[in-house]
Amino acid sequence: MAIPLHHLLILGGLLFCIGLVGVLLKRNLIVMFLCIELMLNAANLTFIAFARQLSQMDGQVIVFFVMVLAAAEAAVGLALVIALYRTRQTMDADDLNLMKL
Amino acid sequence: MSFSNDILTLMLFLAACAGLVGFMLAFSAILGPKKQSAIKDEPFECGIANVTPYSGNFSVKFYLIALLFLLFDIEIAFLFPWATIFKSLGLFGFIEMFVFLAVVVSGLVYAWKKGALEWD
Amino acid sequence: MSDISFSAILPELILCIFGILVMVLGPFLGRNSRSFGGTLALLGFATSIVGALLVPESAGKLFFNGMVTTDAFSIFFRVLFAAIGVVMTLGSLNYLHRLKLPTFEYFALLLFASAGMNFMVLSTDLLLTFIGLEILSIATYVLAGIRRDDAASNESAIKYFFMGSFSSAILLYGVALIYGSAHSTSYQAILKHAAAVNGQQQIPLLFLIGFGLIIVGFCFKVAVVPFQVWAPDVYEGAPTPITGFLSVASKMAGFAALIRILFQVLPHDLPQWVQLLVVSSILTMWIGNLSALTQTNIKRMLAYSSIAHAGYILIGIVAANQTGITAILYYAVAYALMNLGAFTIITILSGRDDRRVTLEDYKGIGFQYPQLSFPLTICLISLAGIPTTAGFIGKFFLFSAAVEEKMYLLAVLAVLAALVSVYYYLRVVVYMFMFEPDGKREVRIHPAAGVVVLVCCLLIFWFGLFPTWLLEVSRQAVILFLHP
Repeated sequence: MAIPLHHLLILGGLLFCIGLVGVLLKRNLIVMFLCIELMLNAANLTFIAFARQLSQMDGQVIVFFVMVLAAAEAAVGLALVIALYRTRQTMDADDLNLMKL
Repeated sequence: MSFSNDILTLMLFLAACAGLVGFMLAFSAILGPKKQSAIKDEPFECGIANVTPYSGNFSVKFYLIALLFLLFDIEIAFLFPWATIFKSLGLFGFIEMFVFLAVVVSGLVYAWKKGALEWD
Repeated sequence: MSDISFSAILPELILCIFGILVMVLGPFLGRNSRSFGGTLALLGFATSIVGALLVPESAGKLFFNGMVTTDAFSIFFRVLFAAIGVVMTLGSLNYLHRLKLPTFEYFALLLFASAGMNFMVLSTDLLLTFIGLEILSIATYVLAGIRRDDAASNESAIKYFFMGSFSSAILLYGVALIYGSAHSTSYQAILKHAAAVNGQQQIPLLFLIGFGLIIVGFCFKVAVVPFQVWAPDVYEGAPTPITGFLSVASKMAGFAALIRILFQVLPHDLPQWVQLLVVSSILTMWIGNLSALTQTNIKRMLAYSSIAHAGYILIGIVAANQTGITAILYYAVAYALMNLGAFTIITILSGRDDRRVTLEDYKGIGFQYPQLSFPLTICLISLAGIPTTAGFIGKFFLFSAAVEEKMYLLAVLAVLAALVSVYYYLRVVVYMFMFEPDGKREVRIHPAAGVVVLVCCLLIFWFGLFPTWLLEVSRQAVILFLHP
């Protein structure tokens, strides 16, 4: 039996919400980054769900591009976290207070 | 297909989901016991304490190799859709894909020349 | 596949090829030929200007499966971005040398960032817009953190990365919802869908939420209230020339893409968003200007100032008439001139470790280095919007666009905000000319940076006194948004 569109969209929406709330609440940089990836994958799931519903290839192709962009983002983001860890010995977003508010 | 009506239901459901998540988080923040400890701030929350505290010196080599693998591995993903319609694309598609590969390889050349691939 | 036309994306191809060339040649040539990277980048940007002018302009025809347009709007911004690239290259040569930064990587990333911005303005498909945005963002994350050993630069890059990728994710989810609603990501198809949906009684919630998320994503990128909190920290910590680049180029690319989406895809739904954007515009101007009043770090002050300028530009968007959109394009050029001019001078004065950027450091340099203090004064009074400068003309037309639409309250609040801003711009001038210097300091002005400063100042006055030509060019560029 095929999974109805709604279930996929709801799952996508839930993943997106979890990611969004996670980025706002979590203070560890790696966990925050994982939450952002979760948001991107929620969008991917939504694309795929619609592409299947519409019997189109477009949505699936978009997912390829998003995956590549997410990988590039991951590479840069993790490199920045490592650079930060080397200068500051921290992974906590609350420690990023060098510049006054 | 009553698309928009279903979507309304979906959006209501989404709002309910967000509300539930917010409710649970808010109440656990208000009611729950707060014991801050170093373990809770660990990046991987699997419940087992780290045996050794991570020291300032870790080898970046592992990271570099993993990173390069990740990037080139994902780039290759573009080859799969290309391969499925390779014949109908003809010579133009063939040349295009080699231009793409040349760009990817130029990245590899950069990484190689920079010494990112050397283990010692 | 007849619509594949490489001449339509000639400037982007040039930027990418030069970017790859600079990147790959870097490790082969080594540290001895630092200036070669700069020369190559300069050549790339200059060729890209020529390429952009050579692109056959056509408003109606789309290329690459309806993804790429070569209308006058895109060509305007492509030339502007390449020119910003030239200014950036010349202005940061000496800085890179002084701080011993990796030259080739810096210029390669600058070229890639410019290519990303170009794709944002020429795209007529949400997917390509998103990819352009990501190319720009990923390059600028690295550029903000290119001083690897500096804690402030690291922190700035991390904050920029998290805010940037967070907003990208929001934007992408919006694109996904739009795709589900309009069954396509191309602007033409979405426009058709929007027109069809507009007549219906039932609110197309999926469509509405999708566009809401997309607009929120862009508001993050251009640092508009309430999504501006990241900007001051990021701008303060980033290397000084990059602060200039972020506050000018990436902001303008964000606005250009936003304008295209709002006016080419959403003309029917725009009234729903205007009220929100009006509030956001007022808050952006006032929060930016009021926060700038108390700053003692000049980079941070200009960060708040750039938030305020985003508010001014929003006026042109909410007015949504010919004067408004024309003024945005004019203001983009004027703002690029005055902000890049100011940041080039701040870069020259920033000292050996890029730390001499507080107001205290500007005490008494007025008569010590008149060749720097006078141009900085010109840039600042243009930012403040004092007559005879390009900044004044730009503000004048933006505000009068609001008056034309009978948005008097908005116009009055904008004028008052601009008046408030005069205080903090002139405070820098007062520090420069009315205080005794703390002591002698060594400042070396690289001829390339000197030329940039001179040209910026001359053009500020030129466009301020004879704005007709630039206004006409801007008007030609936005004509397609007014007669859809």
